[in-house]
Amino acid sequence: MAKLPHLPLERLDKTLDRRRVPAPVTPPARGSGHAASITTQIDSVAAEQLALPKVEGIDPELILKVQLSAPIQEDTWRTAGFKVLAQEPGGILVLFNDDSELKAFR
Amino acid sequence: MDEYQKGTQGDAKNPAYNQLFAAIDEVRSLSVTDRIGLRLRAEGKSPAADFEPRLNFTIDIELWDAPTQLDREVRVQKIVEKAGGEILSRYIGSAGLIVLRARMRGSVLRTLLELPAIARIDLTPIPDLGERDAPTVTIADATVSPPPDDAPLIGIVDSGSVEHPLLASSLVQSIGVPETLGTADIWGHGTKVAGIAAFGDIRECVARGVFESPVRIISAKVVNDEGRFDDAATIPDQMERAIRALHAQGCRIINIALGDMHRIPYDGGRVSPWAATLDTLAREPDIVIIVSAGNSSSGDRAP
Repeated sequence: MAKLPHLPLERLDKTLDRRRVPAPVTPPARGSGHAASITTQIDSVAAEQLALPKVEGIDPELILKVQLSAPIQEDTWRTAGFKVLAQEPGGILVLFNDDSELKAFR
Repeated sequence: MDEYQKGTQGDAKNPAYNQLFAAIDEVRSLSVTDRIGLRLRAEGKSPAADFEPRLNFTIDIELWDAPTQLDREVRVQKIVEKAGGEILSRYIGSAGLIVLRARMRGSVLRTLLELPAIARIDLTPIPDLGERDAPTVTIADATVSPPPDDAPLIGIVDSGSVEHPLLASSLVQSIGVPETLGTADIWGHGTKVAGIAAFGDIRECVARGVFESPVRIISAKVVNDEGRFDDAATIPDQMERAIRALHAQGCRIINIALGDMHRIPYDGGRVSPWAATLDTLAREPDIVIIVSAGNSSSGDRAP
């Protein structure tokens, strides 16, 4: 094993606290219009993408960018019919759904 | 959504599916700007209008993953290949990474930037190889101990290798991927990396005047003489071929010390498709791939 005198290994004389599983982040309280707002946004995205020229051999599908204020498990998205394609810093997810009408989600 | 929209029911504190729907701030489509990669942005090309329709661009096109391998193939054919332009190389992985190297006019590129299936379009990557000139060290009477004949083989995927007198007994083979690159380390990075793989702490070896390598090295040159990756092949394609070629020669440990100054190795997000592809490449033939995960020679990420 290489000897690295410039990187001495020092013993830490203290006991660290046990790592605790953080409590789930609670999403913010939303007003009664939140559901309608999301529905409008989804309708708009769906209409935008369905208006694009059809590609022969590929069924209509949706790729969405979602901004989150609290994390959501990948399994939850899967249950709602989405596949997580990418996760970007700042709570942004890119999601795929092969049902352009998002029946399960709705 | 229907259940959530009903609001709080009975004794419940929150509406049904509150954890999901209340966490959503905004839903929108990806924009053209979202699809323009970091290297193009660094060159000042952000809106689609920045791409002169008549000019030719050599670019990498990354597609979002699709449900099945057939779907992936169909997307490549129907969306990218059909759009026009010359496809130089295609990599359709099974772990979510679909990348094509293409040469096309700005007009075609603009069309592709509008399509939801396109994840990113960017200039071809340039490896971040750090300082070119190695320090000169004079050693009198160095002893070089060759590795045993059955010493482990380490594959070095880099800019090739030179017949350095200290490495000559450890370097058992050199290949080029593709072969047209040759094997000589003109840029001067691969030989340094091979030296570290063979001897570990070089300063200690210099101080002792003894260079003992417990391993044998096979060099795979993937960086050309100008310090760039191959012009025609996508990086995943070139890397996969290099890894498979080294494995076929008996390497079970493979080192890739090639950074990209425009990409943060790990930015806190989900594991990238390229990382997932490397995991697949490591798992399938049961090998270890060592990747530099934080070294950058310049900018605010430099160590």
